[in-house]
Amino acid sequence: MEARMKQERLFDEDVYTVHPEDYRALCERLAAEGYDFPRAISGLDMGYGLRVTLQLTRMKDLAKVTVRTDVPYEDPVVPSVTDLWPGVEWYEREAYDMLGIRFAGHPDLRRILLEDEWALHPLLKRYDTGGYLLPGWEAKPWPDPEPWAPPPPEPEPEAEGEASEGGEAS
Amino acid sequence: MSTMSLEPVPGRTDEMIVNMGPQHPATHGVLRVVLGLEGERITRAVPHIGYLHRNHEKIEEARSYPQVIAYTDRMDYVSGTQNELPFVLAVEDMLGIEVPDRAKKIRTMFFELYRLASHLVWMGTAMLDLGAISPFLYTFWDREIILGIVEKTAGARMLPNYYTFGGVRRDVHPDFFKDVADFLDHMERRMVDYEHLVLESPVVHARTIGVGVLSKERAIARGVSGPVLRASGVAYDVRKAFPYDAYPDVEFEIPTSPDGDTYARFWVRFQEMYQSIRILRQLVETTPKTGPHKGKAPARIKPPAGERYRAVENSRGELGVLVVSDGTDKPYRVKHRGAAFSNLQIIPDLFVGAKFSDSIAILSSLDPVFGEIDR
Amino acid sequence: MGLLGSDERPRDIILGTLDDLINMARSRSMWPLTFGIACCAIEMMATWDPKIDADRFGMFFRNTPRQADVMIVSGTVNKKLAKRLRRLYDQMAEPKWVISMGACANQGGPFRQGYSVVEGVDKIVPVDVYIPGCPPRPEALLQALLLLRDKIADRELRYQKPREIPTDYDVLAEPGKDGRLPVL
Repeated sequence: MEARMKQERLFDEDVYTVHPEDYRALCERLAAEGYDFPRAISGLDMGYGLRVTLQLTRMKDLAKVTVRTDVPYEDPVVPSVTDLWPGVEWYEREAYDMLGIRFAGHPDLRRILLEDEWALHPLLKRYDTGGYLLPGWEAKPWPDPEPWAPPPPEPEPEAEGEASEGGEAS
Repeated sequence: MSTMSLEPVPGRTDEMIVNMGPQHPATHGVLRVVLGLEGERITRAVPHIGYLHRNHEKIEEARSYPQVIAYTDRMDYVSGTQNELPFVLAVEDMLGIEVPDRAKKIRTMFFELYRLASHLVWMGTAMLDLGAISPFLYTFWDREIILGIVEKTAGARMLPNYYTFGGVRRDVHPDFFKDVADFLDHMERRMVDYEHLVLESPVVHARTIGVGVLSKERAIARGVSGPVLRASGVAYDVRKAFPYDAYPDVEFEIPTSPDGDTYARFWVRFQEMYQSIRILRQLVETTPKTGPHKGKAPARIKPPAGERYRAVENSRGELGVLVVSDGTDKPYRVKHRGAAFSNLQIIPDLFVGAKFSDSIAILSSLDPVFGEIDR
Repeated sequence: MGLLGSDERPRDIILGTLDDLINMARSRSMWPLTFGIACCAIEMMATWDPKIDADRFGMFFRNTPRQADVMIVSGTVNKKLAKRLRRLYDQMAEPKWVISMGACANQGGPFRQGYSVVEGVDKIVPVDVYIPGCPPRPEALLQALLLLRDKIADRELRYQKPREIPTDYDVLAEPGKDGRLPVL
């Protein structure tokens, strides 16, 4: 898992970016570490694919953590974490409704804010504000290096006591 | 877990499916709950939302940052400027804007005034749900006083669009501090009346004590926040956990109750009103009457690419916003985490097994506002 | 109009047509439906609070559309709600009136560009009074109610009201399938 995970510290949160296949394992590890309060799951259209951002807080010491994973447009499937934190149930439904991200293992994945019969996933960038397809929109190519690739280790010359800023894949 | 399906269950023959539709005097907005009833007991409850989905998030991607502040007002519409703050704080963090101390105190004063206003609306409508008409008249009169104070400074009553990046848009009216002090005197006398009307009423006791008990673990796992969480015994308040504005400088407590029932949720909101009055008293004393009301902010708001989540303690709970910026002057994605959206997920947990009239009391104690839920 | 006695007749005799009498009764007891949708609903509640108090004009909220005769559409109407709103309007008995309160009900409001918002409730139900504002002050809603009261009092007993509201696209369909170009 470590080769496909990037950990960084943004403002006051630990942010993990993982491969979708490692998402579930990381979430189970975080649940075991005591992160019990689910703040939100957000879906986000990155231009090259869809991103799921899970945000958690640990009530004991108020530590915050964010887990992000990217999936391609063609097959946007992410494992559901509703069994670990029931409070994400509606957030996952909303991410499905707004962006079309499907959560494998969700107990009741149906639309929540739009009508059940609609086919539109409005927050995708290919639609304009009114829900109509933008004529010239094209998906960006998948980024290289991958979003979850850990940054290369700092070169050795000096500064051995300083912790490297990019974070370590651990 | 949650009772989602409405397929008929074999063996259960006397269940009636009833729709508590989007138009209902007691659903606090456009909520639809499809209930399965056996006599008076609820056996299944499936909430449906989305009747006020106004595509906030998509529209905000097409508006510049200052314009988005005007849209955030409309989310939790009884709380006015409380909705603007998480967005303003997130962008201030991303840009590194300094807010002068006096502006922080003014923002906090408006924040707490709106907390009082929102709890007054809650009290009026909750008692209307339980059948009492007079508290509505008293609470709305007090709310009119608050809105009059806000209107003198900000220009609008309910949706003032008053906070901005770096502070507030314009300085407070010269009468502001005196108005607030007079209002607090009036409010302290009124709280005695409200205690008699609400907390000591035998009807309220009969209808809310022991009703809709939410356990601590279930509340945390469901992401419930705000007075509902504190009434289940968890002392989590974003004002103490991740302080913002002038909250590090004022003294106040977080009321909690171990019971977790509807009466506890009523009681916690009452105590929050007392704490709000206490905070406002301190701020009226300590805020300088003159000084800067806005710090230096760039003319064109263009946060660097990145994202920031920031939360505040709304009247309903943890209202958060995740701002994702791509370096232009319009946000790339604004995701609002509505407190009531998480809170409403416990409807199937609390309704099932309760009597139908209890469900109204439970719903009023959850205090949903649909602008924030449906966005 | 002759409703009030003139100087030649004793003041306790009123002359008028049946229209005038019935419309006077109708206009002095307009009962709105409790249908608060969004932010304007809070200002609607504020119009019934002790400061403005529309109760003194004989207006009491009725919870069921069968007993109401005014529907105050206070808030944004989106496509999901529009079907239910039309059904509520159809359930109200004649004579019935609609007040469109606020920018969202008038023409979609600040959310007009969006995919789920109906640009104005007058695409779904016929509207009698429009109130601008976001949200309109309670005094504005009161003025609208008094305007409606005068409108009712001036009417003939049998009135014609349009039943079909023609539009050139399907108001309730999702964008892309409603047969029109995007709204700018």
